[in-house]
Amino acid sequence: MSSFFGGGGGAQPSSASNQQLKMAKAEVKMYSDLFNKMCSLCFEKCVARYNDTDLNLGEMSCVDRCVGKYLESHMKVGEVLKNFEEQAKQQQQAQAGIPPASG
Amino acid sequence: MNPIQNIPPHQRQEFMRTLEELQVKDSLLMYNRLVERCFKECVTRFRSKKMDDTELSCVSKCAEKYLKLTSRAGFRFAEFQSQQSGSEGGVVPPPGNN
Repeated sequence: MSSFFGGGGGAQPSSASNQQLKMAKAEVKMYSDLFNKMCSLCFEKCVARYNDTDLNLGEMSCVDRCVGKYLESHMKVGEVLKNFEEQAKQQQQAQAGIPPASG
Repeated sequence: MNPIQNIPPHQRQEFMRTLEELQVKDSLLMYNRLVERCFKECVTRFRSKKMDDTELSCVSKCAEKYLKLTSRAGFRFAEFQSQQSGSEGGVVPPPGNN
C-alpha cells in the first residue's frame, strides 16, 4: 500500500503530486464505500418482499428518499465533524498560549 | 468532486489502475454480500438438501431487486453530486433515466 511512497527518501520534486494522488485514491475509496453502505442500508429499509423482480412504485420512491436523506446526513455529519475539529484546535491553541487567528 | 482533475497527467494512469482494482474488488465483495443477504432472507428451512422452487425464486428476485436498487441509487447519487458541484462549476450531467 505505502510502497508507492516508500522508495527514494529525501525531498522529491513530485511529493506534492504524490500527496494529491493519495488524496484522490482515498476520496474514490471513500465514495465507493459510502455508496455500498448506502445501497445496503436503503435495500434493508425499502425492500420488504421478494414477490417481484422489479422495484414497485413505493420501493422506488423510498429508494429516492433514502438516498437523498443518506447523503444529506453524510453532509451534516461532515459539518459537525468539521466544527468539532475546529473547536478542538482552537482549544489546543488557547492552552498553548497562541492567540487565535483574527477573523 | 471530480478527483481526477487534481492529478497530474503522469499519475493518471496509476490512478486509473487503482480505480480498476477497486472496481474488481468491489464487485467481488458485492457478490458475496448479496449471496449472504439473500440467503439469510430466503433460506430458512433445512428439511431437504436441494433448494425448493420458492427459495430459488426468492433468491433470484432478491438479487435482481438489489441490483436494480443499486442502479437507481447510482442515478440519484450522480444527480446529488452534480447538484452539489453545480455551484462550483464543471457540472457533469447525470445519466438521466426519467
